[in-house]
Amino acid sequence: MSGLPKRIIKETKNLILDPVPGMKTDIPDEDNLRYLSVEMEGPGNSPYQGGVFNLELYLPEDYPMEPPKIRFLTPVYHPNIDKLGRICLDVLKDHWSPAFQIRTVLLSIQQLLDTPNPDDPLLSDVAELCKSNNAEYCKIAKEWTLKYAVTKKEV
Amino acid sequence: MGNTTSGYDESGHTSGSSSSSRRSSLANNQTATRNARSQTMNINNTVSSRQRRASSVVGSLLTGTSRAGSSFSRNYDFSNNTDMDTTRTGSSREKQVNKENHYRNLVVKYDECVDGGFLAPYGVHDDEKKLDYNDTTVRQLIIGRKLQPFYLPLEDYEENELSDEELLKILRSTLLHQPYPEDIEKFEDLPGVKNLSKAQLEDASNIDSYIDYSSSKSERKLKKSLIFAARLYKLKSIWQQDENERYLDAKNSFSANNMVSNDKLLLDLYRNGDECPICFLYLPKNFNYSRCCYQPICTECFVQIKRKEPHYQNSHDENELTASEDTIETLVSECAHCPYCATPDFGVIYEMSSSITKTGLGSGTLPSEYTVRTEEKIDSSDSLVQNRRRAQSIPANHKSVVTSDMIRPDWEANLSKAKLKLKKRFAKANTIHMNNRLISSDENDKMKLIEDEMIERAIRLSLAEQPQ
Repeated sequence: MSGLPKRIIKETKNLILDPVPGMKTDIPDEDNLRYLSVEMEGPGNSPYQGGVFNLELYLPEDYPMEPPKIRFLTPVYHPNIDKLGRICLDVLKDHWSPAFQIRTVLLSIQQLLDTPNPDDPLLSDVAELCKSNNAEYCKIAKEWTLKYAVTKKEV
Repeated sequence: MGNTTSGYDESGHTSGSSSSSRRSSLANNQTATRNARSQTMNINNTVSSRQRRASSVVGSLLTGTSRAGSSFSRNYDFSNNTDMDTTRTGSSREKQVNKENHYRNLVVKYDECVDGGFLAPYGVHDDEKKLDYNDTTVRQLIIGRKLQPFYLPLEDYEENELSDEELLKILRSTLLHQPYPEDIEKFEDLPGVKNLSKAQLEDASNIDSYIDYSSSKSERKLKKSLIFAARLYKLKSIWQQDENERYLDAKNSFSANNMVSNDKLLLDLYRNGDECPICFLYLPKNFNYSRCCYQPICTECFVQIKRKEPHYQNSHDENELTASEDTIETLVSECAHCPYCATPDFGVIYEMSSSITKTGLGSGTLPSEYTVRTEEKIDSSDSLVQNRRRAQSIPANHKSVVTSDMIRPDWEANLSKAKLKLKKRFAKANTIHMNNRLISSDENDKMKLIEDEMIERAIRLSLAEQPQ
């Protein structure tokens, strides 16, 4: 593909100029404008509250006909996010629509942190705990948040 | 208008190459038929001589069936239908000719002009894999005013920032197609592509001279198809350059009667534009609208939306390990959904903008002679688009609706192809499995039994390959 599609330029420009609340998007490498880094605040009233999670987002050649590729770089204890940070979310897979945008995807991920979906898990053990002993699940998730997603000086 | 628009007919075909392709595919077919016969005889011989080691019987049967099976179908085809249809893929040469014609139809030509737009895409989503729609159908639909023509998109448009002169200057200097990148990675270091003339590139018969005959058969085949693909890519770019030059000549000729849109038409179109919500590009406002939720979509984005590859129903992580011979029939092809509201059987309706009159193909007016801008009165009484704002959706089978399946009618064939491929794979696995059983057993009876079973399977497979 020659050049960067208009849509990608517009979307990233909007994300940087008019960011999604609680999210910071950046282009770490000026030579690769398809690669974005995102800092996402954990939603309030969730075990992820107070944490700032790093994600990497890649817009494949076929974007927007194909969904963006996105994963957490910060470890997260969550039934739909695995050890490599891969996210199990319908809109990132077969429910993707070219009418969605990066913005929509980021909001969906933040929403997923807030409302895990243990019935369609990526990690069955976490999902099991989430269903059978939610308090314990929240406790571990909170520990992970403190350990990995809160920078030392903020503590 | 005849002279200026030679090279197309109303059906949307690019004439010229198609008749010659038909001839060559026919010739190919005759050789294919001969091959099929000799192979069939081979099989009969093999089947009758049961004395030979069973494993070798099955080996030759399996390779035999996969080759002869497809020739069977061609044989059948040939006797019934001499007019080659694209739904039945035959020899590889025939496939190549079809592909080449498809690529020719993806070249934007200035004199294939419909209401200031064109019959081929500008190249916003220029991935050849995703432009696999039926070009003839799409061209017909555009000429029939059932789909928005492919308009040249503008990257940026601010109504008040551009004077008419500036806007026209931008539009006039826009190429018919986005420039192609010279070298693409997957075709790097491939012999038989670089430094060749257009005529040499177009002549597929010389590909063989670039193949290293010391390599294995499958390697050679792979290399051949890669060279063909690389050439086609390069050719498409050359064809498009030729068209760009023709366009330039026509623009500069100033002979008023040609297929170049005049200033008035361009201004009427682009002063009334909007952004497509999918590609974010600025286009004339007469968009296609989704039949379900009345959202705009340009044709360039519409042709990108298609069925997913065949996959297992309810299988959520495509785990093929759970697949077995019995599950093949559960393979499904899921219809395309509306990108805006996820309604199944995605389809659009198109109505020409009421503010311009028809020009170009399928009309009596040349785009260079466009004068009238019809009065702004919008007679909405019989307009589907106007009437259905917020009303219920229009059914997919309505005569005005163009569905995703209509422009890719081959989805059913692709599904059966995928099923057949799986069947073959299971059959192969079975052969290996049974060969192993064979080696470990000494009993002759048992061998005989397995042999029969294998032959039966092989025959079943060859039957499955024949057209229903």
